[in-house]
Amino acid sequence: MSVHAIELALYDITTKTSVRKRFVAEPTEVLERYGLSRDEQEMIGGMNVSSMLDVGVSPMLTFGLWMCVRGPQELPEYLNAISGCLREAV
Amino acid sequence: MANVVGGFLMSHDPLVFINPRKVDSSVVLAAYETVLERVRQLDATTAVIIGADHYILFGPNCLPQMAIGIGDVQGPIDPLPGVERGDIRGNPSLAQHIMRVGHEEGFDWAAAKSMNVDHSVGIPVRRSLPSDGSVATIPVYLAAGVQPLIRTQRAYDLGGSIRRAIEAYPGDERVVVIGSGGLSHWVGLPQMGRINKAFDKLILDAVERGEPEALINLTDDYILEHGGNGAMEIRQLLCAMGAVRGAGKVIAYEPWDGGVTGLGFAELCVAS
Repeated sequence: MSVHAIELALYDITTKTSVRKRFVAEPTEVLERYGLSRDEQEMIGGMNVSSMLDVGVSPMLTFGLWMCVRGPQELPEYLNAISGCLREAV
Repeated sequence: MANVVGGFLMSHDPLVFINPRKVDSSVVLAAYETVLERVRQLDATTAVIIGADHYILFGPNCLPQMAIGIGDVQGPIDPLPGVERGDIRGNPSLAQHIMRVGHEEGFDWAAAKSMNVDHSVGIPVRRSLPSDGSVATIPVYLAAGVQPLIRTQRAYDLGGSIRRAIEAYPGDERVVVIGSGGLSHWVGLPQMGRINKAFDKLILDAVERGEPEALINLTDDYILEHGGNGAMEIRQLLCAMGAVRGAGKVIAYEPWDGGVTGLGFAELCVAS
C-alpha cells in the first residue's frame, strides 16, 4: 500500500502490547488490518528489516520492532540482519 | 520572578542500562550523578527536559514539531533495567504558561494533557533529578528522530521563548533546562555502533564556546554523513542552549563501546 501503512503497522506492534502479542501469535491476522500488500505482509511477518529500510521505513521502527519482538539483548542479530542495507536517511 | 538557574546537556542511550555487551558503564552513570548533584546545588524546583521522540509517543497519525506536557506526567513508557517507572511530578501551571507565551509568540506547541514520556525524558528524570520528586518535570518533545524534523534554528529560537516565559512567570521557581540528545549515533541503520569522535568534538567544542550558530548552520546532510540519524538530536541541545544562552563546560565524554553513541554531558552557564 504505502510506506506509511507499513509504519502504522510497525508503530502499533511496537507500542501496543496487545497488538504485539497477537502479532507474535498470528502475524497474518494482525497485518491484514492495515491494507498491506501480500509482499508487505510477508516482509513484516518475516521480520525482514533490511527490506523495510530499503523501501523507506523509519529505522526507529525497524529497530524498535526487533527489540520488541526478539528482545533487547538481540542487537548483534539485528545488525547482522541489516548488514547489506545501503540506507542512510532518517 | 522565576528564573533559569542552570542548564545541562546529556545523552540518553538506553543501551547504557540494557548493556547487552556487559561493558563497565560506571563512568557514564557517574556523569548522570554529577548532574544530579549540580541540580541539588542550584536548588532547582523545576526541570524543563527537552527530549526526542523515537516513534514511541507519536505515531504516523500525528507527528508534532514541538510538544509540551501540560498536565499529568508518567514514565518512562519503555522499560529499562534500573530505571524506575511510574508517576513523575509535573508543573502544570508553569508548563501551561510556557505554552501560552509560546503561542503568543508564534510557536505552535502541541499540548499533551497526559504524557507518558519515553527514555529521552525518563532517563534524565530518574538519573539526574532527586528521587523524592522535589524537582518537578516539564517534558518537551522536539521532532528529531522522525521526519519531518524541526529546523535547528527553530529549535534554538524555541529555547528563547521558553526562557522568556519562565522569566515572566509570577513565582519563585528556579528552573534548570536539560537538553537530552545524543552525539554521533546511527539508530537502526547498518552503521549502528559507529561513533565519530571528531564529530562529537565539533559539537562539544561549540557548546563550550557558547556558539549555537556553529550547530545551527550544520546541514542535515552533513549531520547524517558524519553524525548519523541520531545526531539530529542536536536540536534538543540547541533548544536548551537557546534557553540558557551561556557557554558550557563538558562534564564527561564517553565513546562508550557498550552502546552505540558518543555520550556527552555538559553544564551550561546562565547568561543574561
